[in-house]
Amino acid sequence: MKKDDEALSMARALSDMVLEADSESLRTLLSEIGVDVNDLVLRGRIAVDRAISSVEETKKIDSSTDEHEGLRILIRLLRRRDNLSEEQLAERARVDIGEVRRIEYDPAYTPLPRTIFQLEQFFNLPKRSLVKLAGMTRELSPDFNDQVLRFAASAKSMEALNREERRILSAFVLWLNSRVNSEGE
Amino acid sequence: MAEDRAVEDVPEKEYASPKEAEAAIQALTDDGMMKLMIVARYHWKRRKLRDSLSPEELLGESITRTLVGNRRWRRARISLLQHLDRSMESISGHAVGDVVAENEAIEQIRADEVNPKTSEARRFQRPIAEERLLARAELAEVEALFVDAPDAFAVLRLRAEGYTESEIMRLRGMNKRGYESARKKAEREITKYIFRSKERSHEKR
Repeated sequence: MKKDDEALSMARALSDMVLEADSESLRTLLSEIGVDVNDLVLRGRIAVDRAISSVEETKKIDSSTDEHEGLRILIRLLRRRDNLSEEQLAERARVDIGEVRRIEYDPAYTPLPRTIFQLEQFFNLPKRSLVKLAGMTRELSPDFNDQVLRFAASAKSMEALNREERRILSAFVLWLNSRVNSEGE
Repeated sequence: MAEDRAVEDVPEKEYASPKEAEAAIQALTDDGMMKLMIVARYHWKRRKLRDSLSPEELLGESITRTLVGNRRWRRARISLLQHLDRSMESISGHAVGDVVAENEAIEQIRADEVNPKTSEARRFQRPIAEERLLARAELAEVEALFVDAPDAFAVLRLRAEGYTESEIMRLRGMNKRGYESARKKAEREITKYIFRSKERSHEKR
């Protein structure tokens, strides 16, 4: 056996002996050599909690970015469908121009509830449909996320609002309508 | 070691899902946590990680990788504690690789300034030689712990070679009591070695 393989086997045997050891004897031994067992366990728990929270946090960020991506593309396409500039949309929907820009360009931005309400009304979308897309509710199903992602993936590469883009947009708005209506029943 | 065979076709049901793994991690007892922290410290010490990664960070990283599915827990084969131990072993190995690569790059720059011809050959030879040297030193260090306890060392060595409890007893001519006593002695020496205060991990909260 090569020395490095031998060292690895020895290391595993050594770890296994610790893992299989009688816990009470280990506690006694640790106390004897001056290791504070409670502190050791506490540090372990803190490390575990940190790891779990960081994974949860990453999942939340990923999922809210995906949701915002759908909102961002939907608003941009609806505005272009209606031949409106960002300024015109802001003026007619009575929302702040800065908000419109941030919705369209900042994937991590969560719009104000009033802005969402105004945009839903202006584009004649069902109530709460944009709230869901903006990730302001946690009631999202995997199926909902999946549809939003598919819509974002099909639409985001298109420069001009061509026929295909219109088709995707109409299909998505129809689906959004049916989804919100069916949940409201 | 079967866990490391990447090519093996493992049925999906042998693995815990990230959710199941998280539930099991959340349910770890204080005794389990104590053992994990001991082995975390062992890997930290073994790889001489010092300030580059603390034992707590090593444990945290093994949990993160399990939960995101980078390193899946094959629960049909090994316990959660063993799975996290093997993850820490692998992470600490890579962490050493990172440090070696960094030192390597610095030396490479220096060497190139002196002799560009010899530096290239050394670049590919050094890590393997360094690994062997470390492995030899590590084995000598463990062996030195047991100079006065040959039976305890034999138990450890034979376990490392894959022998079972009954095979070790037969090979060493031990009865159950003798085996248990040697095993306990080995556990004591190992634990004392892991916490020997030559290297202190910076304690983080």
